Amino acid sequence: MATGIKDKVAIIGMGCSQFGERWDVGAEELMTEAFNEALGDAGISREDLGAAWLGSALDDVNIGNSALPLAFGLRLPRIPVSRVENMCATGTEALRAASYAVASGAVDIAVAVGVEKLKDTGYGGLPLRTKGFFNDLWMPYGSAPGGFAQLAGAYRARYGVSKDELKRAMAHVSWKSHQNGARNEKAHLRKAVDIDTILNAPMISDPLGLFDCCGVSDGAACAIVTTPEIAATLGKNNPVVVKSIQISASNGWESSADGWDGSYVVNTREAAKRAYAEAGVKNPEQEISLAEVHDCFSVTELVTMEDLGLSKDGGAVKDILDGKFDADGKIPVQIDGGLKCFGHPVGATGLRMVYEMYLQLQGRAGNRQRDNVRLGLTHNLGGSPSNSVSAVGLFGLLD
Amino acid sequence: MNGITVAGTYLPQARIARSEIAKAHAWAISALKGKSRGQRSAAAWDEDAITMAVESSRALLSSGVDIDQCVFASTSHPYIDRSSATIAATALGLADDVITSDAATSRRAATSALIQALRSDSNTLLLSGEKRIAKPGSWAEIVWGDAGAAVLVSNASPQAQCLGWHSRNEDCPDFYTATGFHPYQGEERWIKEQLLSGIATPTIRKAIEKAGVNAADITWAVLPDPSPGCEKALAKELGLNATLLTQEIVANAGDLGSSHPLFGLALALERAKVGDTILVASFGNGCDALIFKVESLATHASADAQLQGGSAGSYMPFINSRGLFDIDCGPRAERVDKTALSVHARYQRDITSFTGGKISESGAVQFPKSPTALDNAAATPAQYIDVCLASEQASVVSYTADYLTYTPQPPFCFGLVQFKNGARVAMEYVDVPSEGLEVGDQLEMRFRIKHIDRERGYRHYFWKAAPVKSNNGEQN
Repeated sequence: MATGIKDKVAIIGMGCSQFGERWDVGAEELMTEAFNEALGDAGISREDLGAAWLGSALDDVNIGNSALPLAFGLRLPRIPVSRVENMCATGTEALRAASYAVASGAVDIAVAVGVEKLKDTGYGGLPLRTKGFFNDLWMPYGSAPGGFAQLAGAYRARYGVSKDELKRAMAHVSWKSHQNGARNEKAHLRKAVDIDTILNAPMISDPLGLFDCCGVSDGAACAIVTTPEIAATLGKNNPVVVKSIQISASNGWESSADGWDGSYVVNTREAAKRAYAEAGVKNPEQEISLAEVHDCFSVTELVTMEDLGLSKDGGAVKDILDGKFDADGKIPVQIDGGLKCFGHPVGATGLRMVYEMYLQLQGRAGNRQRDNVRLGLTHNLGGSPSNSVSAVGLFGLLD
Repeated sequence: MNGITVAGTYLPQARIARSEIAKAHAWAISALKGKSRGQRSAAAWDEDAITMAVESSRALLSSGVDIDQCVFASTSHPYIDRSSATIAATALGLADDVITSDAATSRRAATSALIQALRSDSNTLLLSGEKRIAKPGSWAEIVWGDAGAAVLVSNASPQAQCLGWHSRNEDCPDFYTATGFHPYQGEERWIKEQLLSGIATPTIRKAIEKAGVNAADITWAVLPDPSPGCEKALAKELGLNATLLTQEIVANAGDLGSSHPLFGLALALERAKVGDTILVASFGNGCDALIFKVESLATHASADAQLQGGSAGSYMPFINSRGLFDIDCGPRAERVDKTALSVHARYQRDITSFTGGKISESGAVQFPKSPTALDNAAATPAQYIDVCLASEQASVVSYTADYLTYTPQPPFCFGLVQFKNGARVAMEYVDVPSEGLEVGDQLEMRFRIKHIDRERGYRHYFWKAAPVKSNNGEQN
């Protein structure tokens, strides 16, 4: 009987590079920036590492396949290194692998690094990708905003929400992230934007306007994990620990069978259910202190509030407009600016979210620190709502 | 003897007002103003001779006739050496032992093939489609139209019997299009006064004589009109009292090339009463003429509604989608659309005919088939019962109009489509109204080009979903 990894993995060091349009550096420099911060934070040397995982989602953009970009980039001491990829859940996937290695006793200390270098493609948005020789014969080439925009009409149809009302709630989501991002010195976008600007922005994928979409960024984030026992020997007696990391992947039901109405994300609900069970969370709306969710697009954050149980089904529009998820709300969501404004270097994003939880749980989040942070949630959503990989992580203190 | 069992037509959604084309070129070619009456039909970027011909013939298959051969006539075949008839036959779900052949390089291609089909003892699906590319500012650009038309020729309950025909070959081109060049036309008065009188008139007279009817008694006539006034002049020379259909077609859609006589025949069959006679003639390096007698009322109607339907299109997207005005679509247009031929070969019949499957009569329908079935992990592909989705009723599950994805005619509309039989497929939407689509809107399938490999010229065909009745209110 599986016992899970709750409280079996301690995070003893984290780092996060400056996110943004990093014309000045390449992927190696970004990884080094995040890794050096994490190494210093952990108070260990690279020789103490037993294994490493590299998360990068878009292997053909500057980083490359295999372990070598990480092993070369950080000059790792010939330890086992693996590259993992799971679309936008890639960073969380790297941390999951490192956590499992530690929890299993296979290694004492492991490192997870997520990185993406997107701004050398020559255009905005994600790089163009084939869906594979066979799928290209029939599957539409939709963009990422196109895939997520599908949620909007389906959500409106299910709950009888008008176009204007949904658009206003979506605009509030983006407004909030800009407010938060403006206070975060590592964020990509640091300018507050007013609601009218958001509502009147050029259309990208109906009904998502420019400000409903996160940009893409360059960046890296890193976590060093070990057991609570080893953490204690390093002087970290009440470390941040992993309460759960769960992933759920579509099997084709949403996109191929008659059943799903398109207004929510099946895998987020599934991953959340398992994560709450592993972590012992009974009432997420009451127990979760703050959340970093996959706000690739404003409408994604909106439905994710319901998928995670932070809003009742059909209640997200009102909760958002009431400020429940604002920085001073009941459950701040994207207090660091989120994908929308901190940035979205795909392979790094999951680890960037954990970085914020790590800081908040230790009271180190500076001008955006919240009081009484007990349990932080991170959430990634890769692919599109109908064909997705969703990851939910829960992080708290050992005691 | 074989006759016309049923006929069908297709016009693309967009109509470009000829006045708009003339206006675009007025700074240089003021003479176009004289040709600016009416409108021309304009295929979308993802339509070509094959897709339009397929659309024109889909309704014909419900006649229940066992088709022996499929003949495709066009002067704008997308490929020189990849059979249009074979692609069309596959899209239509015809059996793999149906003989497929292509007629080309003649504006008489469809009528010549029709004569042969009528003379044979085979059940023939004769399709034609035209998307001819003409130089901006040319007479052809403004006068021509894009279309598909098809007839099913068999001895099964023919709606019309052929009373007689005549064909004449004369290498006296009134215009020509050399390979790699744009169309070039001779002097209009010479065409009207010399060529038509010298070639078309005697050929048609001979056909009328062979049919044993009086010219003055013919009810409907589809005559060639290669330059203004030819139709009327021919009718006068021949002594016809028939209703002339060509100018009506030209005014609303254009000269439809090799598809024109079939489109006109379908239109006449829709309007005809039992006992009416129809003259169909085509012209170009000779002349074909056929006389039909209507024996029963049409069981399928599409041409009239299509001629009256459509929606206004714009000139700039029109020339851009035909590769005549190559706007800068940015780096996202640099996407590589190369098709892996071996992968296409593996799945082509299911992809081109939009065939999914289920593993039992009560099983869930899925597209595409997969090694592990949606509702039965133990099933293998060989166990699938084929289910064609092309004619299934469907509705919108989700929708967006995406302005980020490159497409020659933005926006790129796509979403999840729910079929009534339970299948669900992520699809592109076409012919979407400006207000977009809503969840639950009813859809029907259209055979289209999915993508074109611009470096190699390869075009890959698949199906897209369109709002019901988008095609000009066609009645099926």
